[in-house]
Amino acid sequence: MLDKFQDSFREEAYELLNDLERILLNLEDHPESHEDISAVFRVMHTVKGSAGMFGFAEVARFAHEVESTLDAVRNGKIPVTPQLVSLTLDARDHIREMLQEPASAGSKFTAISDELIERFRNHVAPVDAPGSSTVQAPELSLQELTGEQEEATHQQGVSQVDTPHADSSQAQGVLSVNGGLGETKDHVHPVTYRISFKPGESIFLNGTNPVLLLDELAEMGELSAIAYTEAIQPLARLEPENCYVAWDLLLTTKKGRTAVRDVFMFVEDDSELSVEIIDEPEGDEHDPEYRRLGQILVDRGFVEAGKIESVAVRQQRLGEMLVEDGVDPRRIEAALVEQEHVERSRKKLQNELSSASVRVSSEKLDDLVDLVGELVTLQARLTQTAVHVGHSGLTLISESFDRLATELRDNTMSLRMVPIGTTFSKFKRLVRDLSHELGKQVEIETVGAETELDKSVIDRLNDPLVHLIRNSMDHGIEKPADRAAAAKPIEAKILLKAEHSGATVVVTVEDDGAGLNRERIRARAEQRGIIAPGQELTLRYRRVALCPGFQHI
Amino acid sequence: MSENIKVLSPEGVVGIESCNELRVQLLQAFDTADPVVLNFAHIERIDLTFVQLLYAGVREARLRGIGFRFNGDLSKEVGEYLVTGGFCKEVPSQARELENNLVELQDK
Repeated sequence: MLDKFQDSFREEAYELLNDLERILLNLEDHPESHEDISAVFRVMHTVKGSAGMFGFAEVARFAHEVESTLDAVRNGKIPVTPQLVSLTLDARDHIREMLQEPASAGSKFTAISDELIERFRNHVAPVDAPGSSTVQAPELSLQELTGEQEEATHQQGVSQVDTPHADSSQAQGVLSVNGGLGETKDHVHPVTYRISFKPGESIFLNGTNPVLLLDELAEMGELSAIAYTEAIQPLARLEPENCYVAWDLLLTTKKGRTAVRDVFMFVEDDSELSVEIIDEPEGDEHDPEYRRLGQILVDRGFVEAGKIESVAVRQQRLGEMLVEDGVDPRRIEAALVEQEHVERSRKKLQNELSSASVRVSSEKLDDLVDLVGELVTLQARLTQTAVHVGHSGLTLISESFDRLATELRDNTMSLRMVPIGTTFSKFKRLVRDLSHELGKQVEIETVGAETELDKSVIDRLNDPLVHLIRNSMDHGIEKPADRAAAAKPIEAKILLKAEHSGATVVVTVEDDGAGLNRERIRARAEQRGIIAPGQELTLRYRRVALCPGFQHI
Repeated sequence: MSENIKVLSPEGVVGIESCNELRVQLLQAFDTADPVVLNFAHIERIDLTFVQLLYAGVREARLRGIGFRFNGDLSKEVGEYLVTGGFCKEVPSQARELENNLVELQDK
């Protein structure tokens, strides 16, 4: 039974590691991207926890160490450098290799793991302050590793409650408030903002109706509003043209923080406004429960932690007890609304994600395609027989069956179609590694990543494309000095493009290197007897260059 | 014992432009009547100044020990405005529901 779960875990882990590779390559180009840093950390955190849970102890141990370094990056203690990216890519490859072996085979990787861990520690050590300890992961048992993951999942978001993870959770919160996380870009999954808005008293005078701003927010996603009305004066003292109401707003949306703040653009100067992300569920978030009421109240500064502890000993509902102890009921209601809102949003996201797609092994799809193929063949025979027999009823059934079989065939084939971008992303890593190896600066550009092809075709494309790209980098693209001498940009480009052309998909690999040397091709072709000496070499020389023995020209 | 009821029936859009006038009417009513009834039947739309007036009216009535009642059907726009603003959890269709909601909030 565990084997089955281990297989599922492997599949998911491979996907995560592919994502990790893509994110790391992006991070190398944008080392300031808090979003990517957090994403790298989350992948390693998930791999660590799940590996521990499914018996891959060595993977869990190794990922735990890497995660510690990444946590230091996330907290701004060490910067993102190309060396760190390389090291993390090596770690990613190592994890992948470990996963390809049975879970019990972990010990044979210990030496490599330790070597990589040492490299991580050495990388971190120089940037530590004198006298401080290096970022070193505490020794944890398997149970602690898996338990920790569960706890960290519960603690995700903003938390100041005394837990071993309060620091990292707070750091995450700080990132959310100050960093670039979802600042201008939309989020992949909806996040929940807590917006505290206290309009200036004179807001009505500039023609603003604050509730219309709330209306605008509601159009961005799901909004819960808690109005604070305590400041409204009794009628005799009320200035009708003053605004006395303030709000706590909970907005779940994919919109970035800038878009949310823009709603308040014209009133922000005269108002008190804070916009804070309080919940940022991942696609793999499985826990719909949000923080407890007491935690929310403490986090918001409405109640001191000691008070929660003192009333918790009574066998009553926490909210009622706190009201008895003089806590403002509106604050408790605000915390309850927050709890309900976030849990509702998490459930909604979970439902959407679980119903959006189903993971099916490609082998099962292949079986289905084979069966449909047989069905279509059988259907053709049925059509022939119906024509031969000349029975109108049978012909009618055969025609209906034909329509259904055709539709079934098309649908089945479409199930195997995947975007070619899934394979394109691998080549970014190839180009990056070869660039370092060959001492060349090469950038790969991909076009048409969304173009869909049958999965089996994409699988078969991999090796030829690797060969073409390697060939470009080895022989086509010049050394930086040669490029400079030829007045070319030092950084070379490789274009990997997929496009539809009628019923076919054309995949092109193009580089801005030196191209094919016509005279050398002629000489080699003459030498190999492919063309007669002195024979004119037409445009077909490109094809000649593809003959065996023409590599390296 | 007979009641000295005063019914106020604002009409159309009740917002910042008419709010002070309504405030004065309410104060006068509180001086002379008990209970005071606010009829929502002819109110089409409201803004925040009116919502504040309702809260202020409830507080004033409580200070004076006077009844302050809401009456009539609420327009859809009014009900939705109150929910968007966070003053009610569900869209009220009757003024009575709103009265309970406002009082409930202030009793907490």
